[in-house]
Amino acid sequence: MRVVAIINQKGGVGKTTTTVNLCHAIAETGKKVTVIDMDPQGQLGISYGVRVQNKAGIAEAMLTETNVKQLLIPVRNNLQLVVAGPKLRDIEHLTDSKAGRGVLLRNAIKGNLDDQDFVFLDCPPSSGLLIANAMIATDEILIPMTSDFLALQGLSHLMGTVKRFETTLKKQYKLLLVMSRYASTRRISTQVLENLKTYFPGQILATIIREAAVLAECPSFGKTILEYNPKSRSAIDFKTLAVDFLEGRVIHGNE
Amino acid sequence: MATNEKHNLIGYDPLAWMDEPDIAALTEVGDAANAIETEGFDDQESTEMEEQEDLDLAGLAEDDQLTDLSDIADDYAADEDATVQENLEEVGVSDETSIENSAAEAVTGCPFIQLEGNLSIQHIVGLFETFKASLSSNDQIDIDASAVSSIDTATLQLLVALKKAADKQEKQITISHPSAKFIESVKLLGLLEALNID
Repeated sequence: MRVVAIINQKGGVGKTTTTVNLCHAIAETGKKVTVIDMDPQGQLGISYGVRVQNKAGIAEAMLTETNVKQLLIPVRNNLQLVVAGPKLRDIEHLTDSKAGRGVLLRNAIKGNLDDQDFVFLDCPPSSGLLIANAMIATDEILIPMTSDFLALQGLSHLMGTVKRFETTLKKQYKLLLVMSRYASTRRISTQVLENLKTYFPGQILATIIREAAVLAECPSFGKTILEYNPKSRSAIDFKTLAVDFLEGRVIHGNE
Repeated sequence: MATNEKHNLIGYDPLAWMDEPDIAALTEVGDAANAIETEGFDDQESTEMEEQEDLDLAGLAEDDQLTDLSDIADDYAADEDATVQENLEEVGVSDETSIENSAAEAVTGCPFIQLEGNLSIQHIVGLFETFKASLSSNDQIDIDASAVSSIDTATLQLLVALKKAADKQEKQITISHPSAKFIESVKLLGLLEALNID
């Protein structure tokens, strides 16, 4: 089982869109995938068509004795979901009197999802305790990136965070980037990509997810892009991205 | 990243720092230790280095929202039994010693860390973790230095930093029964007062 945190502290870079569609595309290849919503906004469930309010989620597994297996919701073939849960926001405010507050997620997952090929964590756009839990639970990080200057600035901040975790926890993360919401008609998009190739050689997944209105439409129908418009270029992008991820296909750098 | 190209649309490169060499806490410890060995040691330098080490110990934590990363790292370390055991062995604290430590703690009522053998910068990571975990969960720590056969400047700096961090948190560190070699090194570096050794 590989645990992969999909993370970027900047909002609007396509974290949930990437999680929803990439996880479905990977599950379609036959891999067993569990996706956990670590964002208190709880939009992952909605995106998969799970509209039950106040359903117990990962917060319960982290804060109580509830086994994460009891929280699994089958959402597609080979794909199961753990929603955020109404108490997830509370975890950000746990004080240091709560022992082991950094390993709540890791302990919740440990030994309970071993039959899965992948566990993906859809992380919130913040840098608090939820992110710390995700960073401790995972060895792999997937960073969705948009092709604009502020995303670069956000990535710089995120890499500072990653390096601090690596130093503190004495581990090195496997790190991959995925270009999302890419507007090929804008010159700055090319320049941002070139910049990233310089700093992350061999770490950017080969397929670039192009900006498309259709990707903004499907969540309201509770469908992934593979269901909403399976012949669209966005559906093809995500299917190809899934193969990139599984086979390690990346863009070579500017070294 | 070329920032002066005529058609460049990125005026400032926020990722430029990633090309700079890492300055990790331990490198700082090593550099500071080298500075002591090569440039001598007076009171002013001692204070500056103590302050530097104090910053290192106090954390990893003084950045943005993750103000408690140091504590969280403790959680992680506590959860990683094997890693902790490895760290303990690295600094010469075996299972057997741990049992003895528990017994000593039962008698004295305060946690007990046994230092032994040759303590050098190679062991400092494990020692740092042990000190940090102990300091976070106790108000008073007794460090037995009777079995220390040698100690280098980096390890002494770590002890000074631990002492300063403890003072700041109004906690107490006692170094008991220091060996002759330990005292010799402490005296050489003028740290008798800083480590409160008679």
